[in-house]
Amino acid sequence: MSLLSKIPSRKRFRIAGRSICLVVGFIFAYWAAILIGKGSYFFAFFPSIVVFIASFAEFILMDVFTEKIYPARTEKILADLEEKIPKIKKNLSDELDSARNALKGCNIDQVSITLHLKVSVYSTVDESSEDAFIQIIDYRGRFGGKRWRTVNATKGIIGRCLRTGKTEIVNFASEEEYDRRMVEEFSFTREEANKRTKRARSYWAHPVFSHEELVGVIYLFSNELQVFPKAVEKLRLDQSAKHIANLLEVARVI
Amino acid sequence: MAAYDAIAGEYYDDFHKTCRNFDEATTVALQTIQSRIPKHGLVLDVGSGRGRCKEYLGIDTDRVVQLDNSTVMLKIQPRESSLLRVVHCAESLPFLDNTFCCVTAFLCDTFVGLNFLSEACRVLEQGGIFVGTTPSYEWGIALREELSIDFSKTRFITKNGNTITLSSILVRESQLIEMLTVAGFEKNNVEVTRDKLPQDVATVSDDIKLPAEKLGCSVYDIDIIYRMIAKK
Repeated sequence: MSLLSKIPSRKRFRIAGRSICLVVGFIFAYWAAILIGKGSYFFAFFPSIVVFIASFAEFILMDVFTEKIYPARTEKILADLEEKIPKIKKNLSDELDSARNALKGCNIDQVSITLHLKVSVYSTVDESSEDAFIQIIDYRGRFGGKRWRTVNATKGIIGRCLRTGKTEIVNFASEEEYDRRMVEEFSFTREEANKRTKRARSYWAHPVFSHEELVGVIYLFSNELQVFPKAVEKLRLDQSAKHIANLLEVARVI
Repeated sequence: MAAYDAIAGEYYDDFHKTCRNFDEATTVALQTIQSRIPKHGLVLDVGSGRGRCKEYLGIDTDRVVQLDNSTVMLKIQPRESSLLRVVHCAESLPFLDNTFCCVTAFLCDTFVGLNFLSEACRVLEQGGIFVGTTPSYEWGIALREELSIDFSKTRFITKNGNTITLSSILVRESQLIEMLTVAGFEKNNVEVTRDKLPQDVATVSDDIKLPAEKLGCSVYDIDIIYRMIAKK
């Protein structure tokens, strides 16, 4: 199972589809062969149809579905990041740790920080692209999810940061307020909001620019109330954002 | 609906012994600072409830602006009179800079944070004083561990036996000092002290007995509130 998990999703999907087609094709081909051997040519026609369908699915339909579900260009972007990010992962992590430790007037243990990179994902319908964010570093701090999660660029405080190109801050006074505003204000569905951690109360999204183009977002949250904006020295975080942009440029991630 | 709407009708009743014990501790904690409150100028009482500036600090009520995010709390009777009652959240105060000579916030655990403390500093005049109290971290954590409740929440059991859970932030003493400094108060002008239940209090809540027992001290030796004084 651990070997399977290392295979990119697109390949895993293709292998699964191929396996199903081969197994189905084999079973019905064997059945057809038995019927032909018995001289039941009419009845052998039916399992032969299934063999034909399995072949059609394997050679034509599976490629279409795979391309639709895992557009090759998007998959290439992810594969590219998986190759390049490990080279600068330590430097990025150190920079984020340093930014987190520079916060004042709050319990650092309750703060988590990560970096989201802006990428383009491509539609297979009309070749258009749209922005999304990929979390490229595990959260530094006790809370938060693992890297390689994607975030829709229209949602959340990260999406707001992308649209405005400015630092964005949000505070929630209670879980009830969080539940309500995540749907009403931050474009998550009720199901999406329920999947996210509900303990955090204060958030900061800080844009990372490279040559005046927004390329990523430094994202912090705290389980304590009202940590942001006052806990942050903005110039310090601007510096971190510049260092991170340099690292990404050197590694040719952007 | 504001969080304290649900408990407002009985919050000040003797039934809620923990609250009354906090009142008793607060009365003693603030007695010694009455002389430090400026004699003239407006006073803002944040999270005022029924209003307690006269009770705790001897401030004339016609100087006091009471602010609370709960309309129900602001309408409780009997109450201390005031110059004005304002329904608003504490994190963003609807007043100009340098308006008040004193800002008070008694048992401000519902809203204590960098935003509120920064706002308190902002609306104070130069030389103005912030006076606040909040449940002590040691007491709160010990109790919430024993009751197996979320460390960021407090619970009230109503007269009807219902349990109401409300947000309540516990902050360590050292962090409170840092927060007041980050909020804009001069470090040398920030004091946070610990206060206990007075020895002459006969009726002690189980919510004080339980953590005292856990910490291995008497109910009169456990620090139950922090008192914050900060001068701008």
